Amino acid sequence: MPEFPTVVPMLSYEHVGAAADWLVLAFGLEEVERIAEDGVVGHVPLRLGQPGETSVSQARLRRESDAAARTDGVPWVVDGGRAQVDDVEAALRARPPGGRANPVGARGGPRLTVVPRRGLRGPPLDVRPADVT
Amino acid sequence: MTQIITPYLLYEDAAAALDFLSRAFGFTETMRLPSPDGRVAHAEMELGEGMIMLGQPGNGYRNPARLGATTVLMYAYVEDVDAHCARAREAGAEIVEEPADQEYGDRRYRVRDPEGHDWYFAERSARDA
Repeated sequence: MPEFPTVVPMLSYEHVGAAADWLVLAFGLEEVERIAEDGVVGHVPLRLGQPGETSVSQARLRRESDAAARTDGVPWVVDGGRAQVDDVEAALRARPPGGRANPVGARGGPRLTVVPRRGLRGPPLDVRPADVT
Repeated sequence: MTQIITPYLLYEDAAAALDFLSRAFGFTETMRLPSPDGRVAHAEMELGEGMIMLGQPGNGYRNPARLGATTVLMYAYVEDVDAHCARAREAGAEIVEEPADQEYGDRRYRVRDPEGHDWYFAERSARDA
């Protein structure tokens, strides 16, 4: 697989820098770079997997205060992303601080839907074992 | 190829979305799982080496077009972005931004699908080649 994937989700947060910090801490994503203008972080690409490995993906965060705030007011997920990890039990144990982690039974084992903590409005990530399609 | 972060897009009418994404954007449907009530519970599509997942939640779900906002954009690479834009336009897609060279090197355009999901399609910059 090429270093840069073909389809990349761009997730919008009100506070992009804090969201990136949280996703690195919660999921082990690696921050590729952090682009700021006038002291405000506006764009952060994150990577899961290393270049040259058979499995590598990228997500990009961007600042979108108004849209993120509006969608935070609805009781269901508007959209999101799904990350596949080798050890979902480790992700369960990691429990992102301040986030709502909802382990549920699923085909192939447990999965973890993580909603960012209050103040990091944006879409959730659904973490599942790597062998579940 | 293994893609480990996959966009999961939700639609009010996933069957119509599968048709549109195929006609307008050139995605290939690779999986469609129906639910007992006739909805498309889960589907998967590929574009080059990339993939997306689709679902139709029901239960009062409202799409970004009805809501007036979205927090997710898709950024997808294609070989000929101008031809891709022409195809999307011909299929009735709403072109939000015409193809243009970006300062970071990519040439891209922005398009909105019928349920309000926004997509960037781009050609890779020479920097990334």
